[in-house]
Amino acid sequence: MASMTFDGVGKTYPDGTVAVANVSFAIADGEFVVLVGPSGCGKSTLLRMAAGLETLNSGRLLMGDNDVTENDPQDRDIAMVFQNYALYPHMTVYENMAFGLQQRKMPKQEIDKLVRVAAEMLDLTRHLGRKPGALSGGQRQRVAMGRAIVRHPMAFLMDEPLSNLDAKLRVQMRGELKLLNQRLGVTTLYVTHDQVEAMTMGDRVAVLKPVRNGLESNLQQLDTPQMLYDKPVNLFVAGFIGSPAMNFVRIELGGEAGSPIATIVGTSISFPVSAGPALSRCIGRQVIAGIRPEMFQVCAEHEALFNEKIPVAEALGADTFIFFDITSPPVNVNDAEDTEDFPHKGKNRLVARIPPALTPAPNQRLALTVDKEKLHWFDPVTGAAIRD
Amino acid sequence: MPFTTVRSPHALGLGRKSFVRKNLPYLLIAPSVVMLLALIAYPLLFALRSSFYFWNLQIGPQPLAFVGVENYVQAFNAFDFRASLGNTLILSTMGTAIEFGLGLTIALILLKALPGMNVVRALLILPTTIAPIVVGFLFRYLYDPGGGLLVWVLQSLWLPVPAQGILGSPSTALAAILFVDIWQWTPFFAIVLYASLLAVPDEIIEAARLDRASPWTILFRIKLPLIKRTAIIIVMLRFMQIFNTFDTVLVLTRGGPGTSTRTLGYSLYEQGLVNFNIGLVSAMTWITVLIVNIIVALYVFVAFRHEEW
Repeated sequence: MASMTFDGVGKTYPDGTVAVANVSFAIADGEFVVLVGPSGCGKSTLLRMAAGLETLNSGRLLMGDNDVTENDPQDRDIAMVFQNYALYPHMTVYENMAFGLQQRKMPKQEIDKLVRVAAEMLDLTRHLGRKPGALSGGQRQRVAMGRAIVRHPMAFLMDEPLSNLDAKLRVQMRGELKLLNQRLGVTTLYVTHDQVEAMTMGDRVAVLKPVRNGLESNLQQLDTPQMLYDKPVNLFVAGFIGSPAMNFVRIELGGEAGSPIATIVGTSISFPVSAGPALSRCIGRQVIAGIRPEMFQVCAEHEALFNEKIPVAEALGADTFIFFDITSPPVNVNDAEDTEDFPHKGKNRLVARIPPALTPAPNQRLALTVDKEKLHWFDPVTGAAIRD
Repeated sequence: MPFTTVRSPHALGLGRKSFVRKNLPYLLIAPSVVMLLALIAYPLLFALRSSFYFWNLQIGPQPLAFVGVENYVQAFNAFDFRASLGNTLILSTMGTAIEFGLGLTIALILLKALPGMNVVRALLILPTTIAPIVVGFLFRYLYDPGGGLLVWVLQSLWLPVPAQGILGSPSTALAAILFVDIWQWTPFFAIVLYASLLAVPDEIIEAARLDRASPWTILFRIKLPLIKRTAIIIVMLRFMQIFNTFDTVLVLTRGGPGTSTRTLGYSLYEQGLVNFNIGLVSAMTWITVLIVNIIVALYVFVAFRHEEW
């Protein structure tokens, strides 16, 4: 077991595509870190770099205190679980799990003991003699896990290991994987595009974003799930973490230093905000406000900030999500940067979470207000959070 | 024999209880059965019957007498039979083994995606597309003692070339025939094995590398087992094809010198189409058919023993 450190890691493909650039972070010994991001954000590439299956163009990779940047996969003592499991189809479950140990010239009795212990742990004992083709998806997944844990490697790498399972099994395996990690205490790097998986499993979560050139960094924020949710460092993280996603509205910040007034661009909706020093410096400029769906509250009409027709409501049982449009230019999270030339027209669709009992009839208006203390503020040019 | 029950004749627009409806499954498989009977069973059975008669077309158009197993006895005792059988077995086993080995090596190199591989792949298929008889003529010139390219190459490398020429010496003639087959058919193994190796998922190889498997272990314990079915089938096909080698022998050596390059295929040709000894050649045909089938059956039994198909 060991810590793992990415130090200024970068990967550019021969055709000039930059997949990964300037990624630096460290995973503590025994920690479970999840890499999450949309497709093309480099998360799988980073994982494959850690495995040694992909070479680095720049930076270093340390395991413990050893520089393993140039090491072949064989020499890294890590185990990987692949998205489609990559089991050896011609070998039985037992042989699949024993293969890695056989390559280490371990005595047969010892291999047998390790395989049986792992099989017991994963409830595979009954299936040891079967081939992967005869197993269900969940069982194959567990064999892939088994193949990783019998070796007692320094670190586990997992590449979307649950994405081929059906929804119910995924939730179940999520819990089992997390328990297994806590039990074994092995450093784990886990890749997923599913933010729920990321939030529920990771001790810490790294949010990654596709890069356009070698000057940016894929890594947006590496933090505990709760911190990512409560204090996203920029628009991208704020928009990525949370389901449904955070609403963004353009705000014209006016008023005076002590008591700024926020006006939603394109509307007459304005409200006072309590601003710290950082936000106060933005008075007279446009900013972006982030509103989590649960920050909306149904209220009396005279208190309402929003009073729009609700064309769509999604009842989920415990909650209802309602969607409504305001006549304010939309905020594109990905293109927010590098432009001062903001649009002033357009429609912005917002989503709010309300108690099911208060669900309005279709196309009826609903008065909503917002918990203004909890609003997130972002700079529209850099996308960075405005926070004291 | 499996057959399908037609549950909805009305959907096919057929009248109730009509002949077609009652016999549809049989009618549907009838064409293929007729073809098989006409093209395989009939000639084989005809040959079986002929093999028990003394029948030489140089003497008369009709079988002359029933001779029992005399033709089989004669076949086994013929001056060339054992030599032919031996040569044929040497050619087919050595040829298949060497072509498989070389083909696999080439396939593994092709997988490396080195520059120029597209051209190599295209060129590789060429020998296979040439008719064996043409290849035979080609090599006749290459082996020509008075200026053949291969002879010149061998001499340049200070390797001994028999005075009678490569095809004229009993010690080298069979190897020369084997070499022609290897030249023509190694690419076939290379292409087929390459295609099946491409179908091995990268993740499985990556998983093996992470399991600390060496390249040799990956080849013998992962890649080869995964392409086993394809390999088994092409080895079987090639074995049967080489077992029937005839055209290159006809063009290059006519079985000589002596019986050193005679194959069963060539002996059959000579007895049947040169000597017109139909009775004897029928017996030889049946002996060949039995030998090939026994070898292939044993091979299939051993190779597929652990396979779940």
